[in-house]
Amino acid sequence: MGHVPHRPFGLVVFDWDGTAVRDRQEDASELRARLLALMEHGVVIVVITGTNIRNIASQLSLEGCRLPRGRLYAATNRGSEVYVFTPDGRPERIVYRQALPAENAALDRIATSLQAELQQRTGLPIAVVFDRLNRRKIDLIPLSEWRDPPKARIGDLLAAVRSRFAASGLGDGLGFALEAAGRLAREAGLPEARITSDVKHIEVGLTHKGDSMAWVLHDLVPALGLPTEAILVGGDEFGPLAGFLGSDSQMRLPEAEGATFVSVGREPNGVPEGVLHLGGGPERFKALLAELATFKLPALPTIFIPDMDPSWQHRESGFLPLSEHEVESRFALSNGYSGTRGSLMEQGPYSRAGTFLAGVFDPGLAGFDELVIAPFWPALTIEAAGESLRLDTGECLLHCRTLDMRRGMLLRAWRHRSAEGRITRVHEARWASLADRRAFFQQVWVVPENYSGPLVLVGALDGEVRDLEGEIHLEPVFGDASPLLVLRTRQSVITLAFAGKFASLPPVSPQPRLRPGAVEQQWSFPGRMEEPVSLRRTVVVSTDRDGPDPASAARAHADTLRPLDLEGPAAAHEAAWRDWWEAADVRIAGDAAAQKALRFAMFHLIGAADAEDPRVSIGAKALTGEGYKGHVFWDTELYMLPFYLHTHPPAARTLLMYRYHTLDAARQRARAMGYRGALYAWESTDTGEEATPETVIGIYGEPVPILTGKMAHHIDSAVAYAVWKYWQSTRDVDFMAEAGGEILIEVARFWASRAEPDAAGATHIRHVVGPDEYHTDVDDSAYTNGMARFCLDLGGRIVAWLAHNRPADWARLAERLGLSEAEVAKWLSVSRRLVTGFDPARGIHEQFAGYFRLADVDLPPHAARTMPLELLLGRDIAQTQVIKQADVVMLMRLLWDFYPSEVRAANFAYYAPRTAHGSSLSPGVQALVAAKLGLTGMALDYFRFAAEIDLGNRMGNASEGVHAAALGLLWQVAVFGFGGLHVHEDFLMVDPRVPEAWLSLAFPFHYRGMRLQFTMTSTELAIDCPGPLPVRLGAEGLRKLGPGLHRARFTGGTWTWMASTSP
Amino acid sequence: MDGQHVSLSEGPILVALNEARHARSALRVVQVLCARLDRSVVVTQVGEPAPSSEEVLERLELSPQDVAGVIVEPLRGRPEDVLPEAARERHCSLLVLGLSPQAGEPGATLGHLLSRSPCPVLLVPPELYDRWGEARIVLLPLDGTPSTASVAPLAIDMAVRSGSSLEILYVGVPKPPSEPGSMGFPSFLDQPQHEWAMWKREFLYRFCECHWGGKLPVDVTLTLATGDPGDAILELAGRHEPDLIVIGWHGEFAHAHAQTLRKLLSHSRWPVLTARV
Repeated sequence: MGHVPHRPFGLVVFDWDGTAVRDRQEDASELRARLLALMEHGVVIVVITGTNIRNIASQLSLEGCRLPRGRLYAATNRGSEVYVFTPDGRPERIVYRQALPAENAALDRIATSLQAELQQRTGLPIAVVFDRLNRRKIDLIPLSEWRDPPKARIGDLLAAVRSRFAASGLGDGLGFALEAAGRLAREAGLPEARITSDVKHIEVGLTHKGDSMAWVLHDLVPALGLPTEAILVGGDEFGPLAGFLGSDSQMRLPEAEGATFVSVGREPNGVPEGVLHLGGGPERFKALLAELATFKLPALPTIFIPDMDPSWQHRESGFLPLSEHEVESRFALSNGYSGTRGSLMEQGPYSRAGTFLAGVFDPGLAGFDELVIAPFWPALTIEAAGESLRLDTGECLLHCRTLDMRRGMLLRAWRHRSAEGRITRVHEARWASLADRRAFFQQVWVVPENYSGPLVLVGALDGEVRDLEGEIHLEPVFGDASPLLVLRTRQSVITLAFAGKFASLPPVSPQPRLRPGAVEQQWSFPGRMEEPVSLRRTVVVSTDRDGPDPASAARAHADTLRPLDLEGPAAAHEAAWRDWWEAADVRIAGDAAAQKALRFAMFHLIGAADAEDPRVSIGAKALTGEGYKGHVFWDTELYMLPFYLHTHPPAARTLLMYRYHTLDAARQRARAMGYRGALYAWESTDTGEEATPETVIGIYGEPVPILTGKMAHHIDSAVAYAVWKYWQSTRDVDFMAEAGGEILIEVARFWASRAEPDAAGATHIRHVVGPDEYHTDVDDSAYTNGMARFCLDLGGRIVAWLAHNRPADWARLAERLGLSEAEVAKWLSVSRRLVTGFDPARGIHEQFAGYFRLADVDLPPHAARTMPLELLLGRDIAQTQVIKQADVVMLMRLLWDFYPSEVRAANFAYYAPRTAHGSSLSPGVQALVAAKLGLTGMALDYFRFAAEIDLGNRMGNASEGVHAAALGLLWQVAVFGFGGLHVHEDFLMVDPRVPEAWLSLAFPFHYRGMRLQFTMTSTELAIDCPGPLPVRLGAEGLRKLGPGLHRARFTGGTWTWMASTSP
Repeated sequence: MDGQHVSLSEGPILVALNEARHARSALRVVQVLCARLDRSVVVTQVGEPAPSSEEVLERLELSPQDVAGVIVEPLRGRPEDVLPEAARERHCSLLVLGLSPQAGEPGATLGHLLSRSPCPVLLVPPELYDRWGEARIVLLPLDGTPSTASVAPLAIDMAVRSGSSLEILYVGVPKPPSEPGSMGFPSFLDQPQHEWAMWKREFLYRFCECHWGGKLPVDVTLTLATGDPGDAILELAGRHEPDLIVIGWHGEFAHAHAQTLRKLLSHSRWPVLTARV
């Protein structure tokens, strides 16, 4: 017997049957009251049980109770599931270990083999229970009197099993069965199978209670910022029985060292060392819970507890300064108006902190506009008993950062021990509001765990921010202690104002410290052991891009926020994220890595767009870092925009309106280069002017000419294509009449002037750079010419549409643009005569004139290369057929319906092996086209490659921001590739190609004003359709679906419709 | 920043010489590179029995003027035992040895010395080329792992003290390093006007600034190479004639380990400063 340490526990973990309740019929109202009291004190509760959630939830009966968020969990089904109880008492599954078909087959094989082996050895009937999640039970004594033995009769049960085996000639039957189960599991390819016994059964499963405890220790505890000493684990079966340890001993993982383990069971053979044996059963356990509720505990506010569903989390445990820059990119918080890198609030020499404001550019050293780095608003330092808390000093006992993607928050838990042994626990929550885009929020909670001493917190708004070249773009204008900081960009003369509002608990008045370009506030607390102090900060930013007098605007806006009440703004922010996720979330069952990668992609895409500001677009790194200087490429229209188009169409419209607002700059650019129409900048900023340098110093110190700014004219086609796709999916007549049509006309006009006729009557586009930038200054790029043809034809079509449907608008536009029927006729003529590079003998397109004459290089030997292929092969790469990224294949992808299926397949087969993936855009396009061609396995490999670009820093350049286009492509691969959706001119094509490794794929899809819901497996499809929808399913004919749920099945190599259900 | 980097302590510099041909070049290198270190210099020769101070100067063909301000302190025993012990006892900041390039594979004695030395070891070739000391370049070869880069502060410190620039040579290895925080060559240079600068900034941050604790106080160039690291270092050194090559190694000399260091010891015409990481 022992005594439970007389101190509070922040986390109580316990077994259910025999520990918390005597049996399943017991009234658990007293237990419920005890648990609710503990949760009110801030204690987090985890039930670990072999049974299912229904049994736990019905016995606990929490309906009608108000629970604190994130404080009650149930790890059920022997480690296969974890549920969180929502504030209204409902269990919501957050972890689900779902056996793959092969694993289920292996479990069946193990169970039936063991059954057969035991029957053969003993001649006894042995039964198998199959219908359990992720496990099989082999019943050693399938006799009616032992059908459901109570725990109290375990000794009798053991004797009965032993005598049954002994009588059949197998002395140690239980031991034999356990050993045989292990052997059979290894033979079946499940060497990690969990093999346990409750005496009546041998259980073979994929998980057991140890897996539940692993979740507690590895996932929950770091997020709570607790030491293991704060964990109490209760059970009733730790001690040995029949030669093996009780099931509760599975919870005693090595990582749990320091936790207190107590048993309230009988434990006839004693308990293992390190377990306190209290005895007394559930009554004693409830008494223990009552004792624990008498302790005063610094209760962690629930805002700091992340959504514990791992598919909604991106987490970084520990701290490696070398990798900090890429971590900061992945943890960036954006809302379309601003983006804040996920840097540590106290910063350090390892930090590359910064805030970016969409559209706030200033010329850099090279003379081109670059996105300005604004003050890092979360900056806050903590001084505990005279010592600054930093990760590179003292000892880091625990450090865990979690990006809670569902709620759009960055959370941090940190326990720090100073050289003198003082332990300080720090939690931080921060978010850039999606509901109020100009407002930032931060809550910090600090507890001196084992000492009393002064705590000093200093929050700063510091305008002296240097970019990566060391340049400062901002100069101070004004600052006051309110606090307000006003700055101005040096050359573009944009005024930025930051206004703050703060509150602390306990309340103290901050001491302001002002210096030019910076405002600091210092809060000083006496600091008492185990007594938390809390600081809540709101910061509002406004610029004169938003309106006049940004200082007054920011101040007035900040004054509307009450920092002591962050729950309101947090709830509004979470609701905004919830709305976005409802419109966008792609759900994958059976592939946790793919699910997490897609959520990560969508998280950053959602944060990149602001549907309310048509003056800005999305840069290559969105608002997550300095990379690419905030410049906008073709990435936005072709790789990101489809996500917005089919989840939140207003955001897609806004992105296209940016191109409309920069059309004049594009016209000037075309004119300056001697062409007509409009030519968009390869690298564009807020003005639309070209921001690509002409030369850079290369990797060997040599000057390298940059030709994309001069020759990558296919950017024009990308913009036009996006306008067309927007039109196809929305039929937004006003947009087409007021903006889209003009873009299409000017693009067509450009291509018509860009093409050159030859003596034979054909037209050519010479001196271009296509998507494959290994080959520059080429003639008749198949991609460029193919897309130009498309744009020329589209220009003609849109002129006809405008003339017919909006004659008054059309007349004004034609007059303003000086457009004649003859000019339109010329577009079509140029289009018809434009060479395509198609080689009828081979059935493929030549990527550009002369490509087929280049040397072929066998790429596989270079697969494990340690440097870019263009460096490995040097300038000679241009003399080979090695291509940087999908080029002709990209043409097939974009104009899918324009090419026969055999041409699409032949081009993919030819070019895919020659693609070096020298761009983050490449694997995603390959995945998408492979999936559409039915090459699902290859597509999944490419998808995984693409998923690792930021999460695994696969390209080695995540430090300066995420790859927004690659993230957009991941969504496209899931929806257009594996989901098989294809938007035709007047109907939706659906031809799913779900990988067999994915148990299911589900997503919403916005089309023609409706939000459709798709759910599919490799053999089944369901479309939830709110209104009439013309659909073509696979090879079937066009069908107009009515409102309701429509199902289809894949049999015999084709999809066929099943019955439909009306709403 | 990560608490793992190599730097010079405050102790004396122990110059251990066997042959006269090394004496002048070693003292010159010490005087030039370590002038601002403000460390006392001890010249020694190890023998059994220990030679007298006069015998040391005679064998090394040094006059008393050559060693003005220098302590001459002969030692008795085997060099591989005595020198590490002496360096440890005296808390030496640096052990300076003669280097015999073209003398074939470095012997076991040198291997033992390098393995056992408690401080960085500066190996000086017998004859410095004519214009040695004019280039004002410290060459720092790196392999993209944090451990090897832990000698970066040493190289930066030497560059600062000698008024040199730092030339970093990154030699990509066939298998990307698995050590946490490692960095390989960029997989691609999409839009080189952006990607190359990005990759270079991150590389310098991880392997120099992170160890140094902030922005570097010297001019830095970064050169890339592939192939055998030893060959790549010697090739670049041949082109740029650095005053010093600083290289980290993992402390295991036997059984074909330390191939790059071995190659430098066999072929370097330039002083090599090495430390275990």
